[in-house]
Amino acid sequence: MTTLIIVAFLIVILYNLGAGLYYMMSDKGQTDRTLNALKRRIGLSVLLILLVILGIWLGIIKPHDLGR
Amino acid sequence: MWLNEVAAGKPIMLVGVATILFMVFGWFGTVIRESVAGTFNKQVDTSFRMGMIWFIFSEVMFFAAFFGALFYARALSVPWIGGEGDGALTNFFLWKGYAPAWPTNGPSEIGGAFETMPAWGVPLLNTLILLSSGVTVTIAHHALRAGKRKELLVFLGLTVLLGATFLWYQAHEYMEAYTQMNLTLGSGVYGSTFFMLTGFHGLHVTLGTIMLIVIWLRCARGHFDRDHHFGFEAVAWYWHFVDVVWLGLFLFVYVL
Repeated sequence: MTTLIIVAFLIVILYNLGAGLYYMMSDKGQTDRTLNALKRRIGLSVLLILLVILGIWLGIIKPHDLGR
Repeated sequence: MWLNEVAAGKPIMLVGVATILFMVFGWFGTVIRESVAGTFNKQVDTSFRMGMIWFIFSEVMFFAAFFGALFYARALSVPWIGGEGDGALTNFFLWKGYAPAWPTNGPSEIGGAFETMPAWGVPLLNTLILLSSGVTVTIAHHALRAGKRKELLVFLGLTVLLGATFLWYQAHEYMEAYTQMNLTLGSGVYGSTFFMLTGFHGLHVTLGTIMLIVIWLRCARGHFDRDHHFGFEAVAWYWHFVDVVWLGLFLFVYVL
């Protein structure tokens, strides 16, 4: 379940990163669409890592160790 | 020639590297001067953007190959030699008694016993450093679009410093892995995927940091304004890309 949530986050982050690239090509620096897509991508990334830290801290996510 | 210990190998290699650097600086310098002089028309601008797309496409394929190797080893080939799927006979005849697990250096324990890099330490610290640099580059981007030059230079400069800090900690992590944990490039499939992924990512952070330094100097010289800043936007986007690759690395190599 946690893996699914993390992967879902990564997909949305990748989508916004890709959107930023697309707007950079189409708008040629004349709009804020690239900037806004990249703002969404960094915001979601920070949120994801904070959730992962919380998950490790609460014991929901166990970072892998040898032989697990 | 250098690797085969031919006497002339090292100097020839160094001359080659110096030639490449000279050509790259000369070429990129010319492009920047032509851009500032306003000699480029819209078609040239489009060609730069197309170049960026192809460059990023090659980068995505590059990292897809290494992440693919990691997922293939973890999810398919290691379980197969442990007897899962169609691997029962392989396990019985070749690797009897091998219980698949991850991380592993395989049934022959190539490279000897090793420790894995714990996520809750330098890797997490590096994640926070790189994410912070993603925030600072976004603030710099916002400042450029808002026409706030000083804010742009301060936050772009901070991004460069955070990138360099990341590299310093990663070098430290590698030394610890080699000297204290016996985790090397030769530690079977775990060691090779770990160092290939994190090593090439580190190389990209190095390249990104150099590009950010160049862009900082160009910002300081006033090469960009709020409507004309493809150089800045491309490098800022590249930094976001490298940051996202690290997110994937941190989650799939260290945590999950």
